[in-house]
Amino acid sequence: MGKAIRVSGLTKFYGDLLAVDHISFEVEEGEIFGLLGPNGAGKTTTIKMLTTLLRPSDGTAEVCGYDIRREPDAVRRVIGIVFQEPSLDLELTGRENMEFHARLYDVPKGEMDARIEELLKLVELQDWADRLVRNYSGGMRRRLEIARSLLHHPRVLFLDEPTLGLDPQSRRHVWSYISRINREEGVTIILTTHYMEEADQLCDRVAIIDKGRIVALDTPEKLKGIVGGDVLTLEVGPEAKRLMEAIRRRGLARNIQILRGQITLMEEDGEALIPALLRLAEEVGVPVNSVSLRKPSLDDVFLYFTGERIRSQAPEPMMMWRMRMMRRGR
Amino acid sequence: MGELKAIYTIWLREMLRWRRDRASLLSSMMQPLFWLFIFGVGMGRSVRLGLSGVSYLTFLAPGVIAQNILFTAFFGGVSVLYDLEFGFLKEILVTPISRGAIVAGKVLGGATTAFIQGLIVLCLSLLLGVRYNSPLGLAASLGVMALLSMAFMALGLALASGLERAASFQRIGRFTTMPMWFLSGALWPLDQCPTWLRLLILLNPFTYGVVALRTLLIGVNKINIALSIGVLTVFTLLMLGLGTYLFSRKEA
Repeated sequence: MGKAIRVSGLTKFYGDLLAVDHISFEVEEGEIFGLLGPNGAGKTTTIKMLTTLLRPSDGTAEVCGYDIRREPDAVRRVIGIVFQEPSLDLELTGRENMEFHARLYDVPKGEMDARIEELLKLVELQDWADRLVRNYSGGMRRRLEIARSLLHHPRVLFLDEPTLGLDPQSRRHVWSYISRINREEGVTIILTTHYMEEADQLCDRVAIIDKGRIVALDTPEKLKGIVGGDVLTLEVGPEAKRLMEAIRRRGLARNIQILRGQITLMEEDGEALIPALLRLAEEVGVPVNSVSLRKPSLDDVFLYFTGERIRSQAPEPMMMWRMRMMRRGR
Repeated sequence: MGELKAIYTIWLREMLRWRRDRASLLSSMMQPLFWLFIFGVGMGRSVRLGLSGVSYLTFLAPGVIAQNILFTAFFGGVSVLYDLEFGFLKEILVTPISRGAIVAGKVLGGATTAFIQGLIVLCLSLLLGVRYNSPLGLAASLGVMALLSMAFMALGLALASGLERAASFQRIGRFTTMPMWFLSGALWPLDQCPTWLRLLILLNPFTYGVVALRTLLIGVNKINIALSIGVLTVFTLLMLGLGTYLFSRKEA
């Protein structure tokens, strides 16, 4: 398999601020590759450099063998992009937006109409083709942008936060289109996201990025494997630190993280650990408000490597049960 | 070939948008009507121009045609900033076409709009009873109108490319177009003003459009027509160059 993208030492400074810090990675032809990280991690800056919209401060990258610094025009010809913010002309119809794009990329006249029809059908917008984009919903606009980005048969497609701001139903919709175009058009896809379910379900491989650096890169399965079999979360509150030290001293768990009154343990056999943990909590007199046990998510992988969560709200659990604990115990 | 198709594509988009925007077309027709019908007719009663056989309304009409072109073309430049604010500029900038082709398409689009509006004002003036010199002069004035449209669309685009927000363009635009309009000799004859005012008028590129149109339409010739067209052409080329330079530095 060839490499669709080779990144070596790519770096971007905004004044004194280091947004992307000498990152290197490769994307295989035909895969869906994800850049996962919190807002401000440097994902969009990386995408803007790879798509020639921003000049790197240092390092470089090749897209389909073309150097982004020396051959930006050649790069633009072989890539498609869906930006994070909308980039449609609301006063044109969906079809007119598509035609505008096709002409600028010099798609031959004979092929253009059929191609537009085919892609509108792919994203199920054929009935809306001749209405003004102003009247489209957020999800429909996103789908139109995805269809548009494919018009000129790009070899690599960049999607910057493709489901940002969409409701859960539209999000799943967009996911299914993304995997479909990856399969049917054979296009390599590189996407950024801060939704771990998105990276988990959609991507063949994921690079976890934080503060401009890649902290881990592998398949979602292998990344979660690093964390272990189970993730145990104890809601404790202000006294979390005391309980964590007690767990450490007792040698109950190796991998402990503490964040905002919440203790997270990543262990092979989490279920078996619960009774011992609760006994210990009672012994040291630290009240535990709730305990949850689930399979690890990419957010846990992020926590494992950075000590932070990608976002403060709880991740969508794959398997979860909660035990409400009385202050006094069982 | 690719570049020409790109220019055509950018132009076509401007036309599609303009065709749908009936309201702005109608409102932009109000101002010239006001100038011709109210100002031209009203002032005409009390103004003696010292030009034999030329009424004030007739004297004013070429200036009002030029003014409508000036305003429409100049404010057409703001479309660059609307594209920036609505995110569409990113879509254009990431395509493999050259910045020069984008500028050319934009300028042609805005200029076409301005030219057609100028043409409508010309027809309105005929309806109001203004009589022009000759069919030949009328035909030649179309060329001047086209040149004027290009010149001030290019100026507007250059200004917009140097700015970040549409609101600031509107603000600066008002302070740019009003003096150009009043200091153009469109409202009174050049040879009847004091030297300092005359100097200001001669420094204003828009003056040469007004004077050239007036020469061709009603045969009142105060500045050599070849000189006027020469000045307008040089100004247009300068603004296109400046616009392309500033636009190329734009990041979406």
